[in-house]
Amino acid sequence: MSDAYESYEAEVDGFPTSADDGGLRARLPLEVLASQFVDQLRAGTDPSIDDYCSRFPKLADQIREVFPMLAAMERWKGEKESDSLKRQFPDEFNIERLGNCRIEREVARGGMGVVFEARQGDRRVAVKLLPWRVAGIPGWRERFEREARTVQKLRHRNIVPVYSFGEHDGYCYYVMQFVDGVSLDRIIHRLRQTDGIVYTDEIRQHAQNQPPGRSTFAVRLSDEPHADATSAVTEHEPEPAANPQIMRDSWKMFARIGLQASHALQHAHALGTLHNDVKPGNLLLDADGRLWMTDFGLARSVEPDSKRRDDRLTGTLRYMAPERFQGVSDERSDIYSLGVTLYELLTLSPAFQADDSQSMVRLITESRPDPPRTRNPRIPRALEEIVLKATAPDPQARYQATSDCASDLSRFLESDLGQARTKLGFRKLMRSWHRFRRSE
Amino acid sequence: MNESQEDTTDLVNRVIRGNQQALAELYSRFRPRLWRMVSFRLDQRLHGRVDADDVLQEAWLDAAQRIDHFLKDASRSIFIWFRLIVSQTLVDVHRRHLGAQRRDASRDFSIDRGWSAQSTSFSLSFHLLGHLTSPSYAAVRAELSQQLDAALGTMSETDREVLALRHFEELSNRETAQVLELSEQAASVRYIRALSRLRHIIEAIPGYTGN
Repeated sequence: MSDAYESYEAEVDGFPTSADDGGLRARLPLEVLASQFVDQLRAGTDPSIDDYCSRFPKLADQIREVFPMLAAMERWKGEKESDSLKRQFPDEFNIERLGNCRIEREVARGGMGVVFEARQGDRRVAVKLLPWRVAGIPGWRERFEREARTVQKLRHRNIVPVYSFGEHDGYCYYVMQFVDGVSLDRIIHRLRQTDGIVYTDEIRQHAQNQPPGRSTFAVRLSDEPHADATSAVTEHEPEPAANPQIMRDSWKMFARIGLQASHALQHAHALGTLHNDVKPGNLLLDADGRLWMTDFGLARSVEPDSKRRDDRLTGTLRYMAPERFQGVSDERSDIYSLGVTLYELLTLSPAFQADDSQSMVRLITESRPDPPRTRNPRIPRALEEIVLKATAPDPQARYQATSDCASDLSRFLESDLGQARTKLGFRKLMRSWHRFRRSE
Repeated sequence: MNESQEDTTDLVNRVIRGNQQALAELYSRFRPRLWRMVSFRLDQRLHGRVDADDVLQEAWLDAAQRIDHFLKDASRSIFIWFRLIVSQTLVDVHRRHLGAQRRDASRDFSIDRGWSAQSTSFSLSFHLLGHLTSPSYAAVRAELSQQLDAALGTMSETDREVLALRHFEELSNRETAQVLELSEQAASVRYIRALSRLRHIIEAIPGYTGN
């Protein structure tokens, strides 16, 4: 018996494994180098063709001829893969229930999944279904569950709570609190329109998904440019006004958004969790001016190949910290992404703009955005400084902790608050004066 | 693929003793790579009817049935053995679903030549055709990808296959050699030759913008 096993063992010791270490002498030297180069590409490092040429001068001409094709093939593969992954996602879901949630309607759909509004008992919830079937790929489900459990532990007034998670027909989903809110990218989009104003009514209506009628869709297209003073008073104050609104120069509102986002990150970071994808689309603002951060790390945990993320997520690339392209990230990388988000909110233009992901990466890693005030000189200097510090390309030069960023934002709010209160007082006086006149 | 050699040897030993769970563990380790192969080679006409996971599930049942042949058939490479089983399943799936219309379409395009797991033509050229005929494609995709689509379309089956194995399936040179039944040297020569032909074809495309 044991003899038989021994002979088996002896036989299988020579069983080849996946390692491809042999045959080096038989292979073309150029092919060996090409394999190394491709391995580096796949590992997400950025191998340099010049570097290979100088290390292997005899092969330099061939390296220059062939290596660009390697990069091109890998990129092409990335595109085909993402096509095929997306194709597998059904156009329509005939789902009535996900776990103990009764699905009511599809709220949103994007590259990273479909969000449903649903009921869990009496509770109104949002259920996010991730677009890739994890069932077939070993390890993915475990990764999803691990991440989901971590995110479940986050409890903060500015973080959308995740209640539970599960799997349906090979697709992972998680159940969150339903937030009546609008994402910052939409708000930025609206503000970018001529003299855009976003009223909280609009937020409420959007949240209830009743397409707002023109009359209530409060775009004010007035000729008069609002002076800083006007903006400071029309912006809503801690005690919500009748129809609070966000305008292009609602600096304090923007600072408050940044502050709440910093608090959310501070909480997560204290628990050892990075967000990894802070961007306008992941920040929801509700009608009370409360900010909700969502999508903590979850979607990425089941992304088929995070190393090639840039091929399919060019949109998000824009908010990624430069060091993340070297595969390094920590709390300061989240701070950077928040900084770029605030930059976009202040200037209403993206910090970096490029036609393709490669040039985007180059911009992020090799340059820094124009100071916000060169895009809009009315941006308060203090806010500009905060954004510049948060978006410093060198992590050492950034805020080292979210709490530092938060205190600068609070300082800005406090310094400005006194001034604004006076103005608000003035405005109230004016209002009551008008009322007085009308009642006469 | 960072499992230790020892670990794999242990699994292999259990498989040889007929342990299906060990076979399942080995299969699941290769599953991402097998998935890549299936999703790349699955005919577009089957999308919506069959997906890569279905094929892999079916292939697993086939693999489990052949567990007694493992020692003999997988001794050169476990991955290649699984891959062969998956290829055969793929052929079956295509035959089952497309059998009747398999050979009747126009022969102008390799896509209609019928499917074999040894051939990239089905899906590769479908990608090519699909992309070249869709007007919106041009607007959306990066220039180089279009050039690649066009360039690969003019290459020989042999060149395309070696590029597909090395890049789409992410096979090593040794694995490629095993699949193509060549020596490692011949496989490396063929790969480099295909790359340099690709380069020449792309350079000949008007509007080539360099690297």
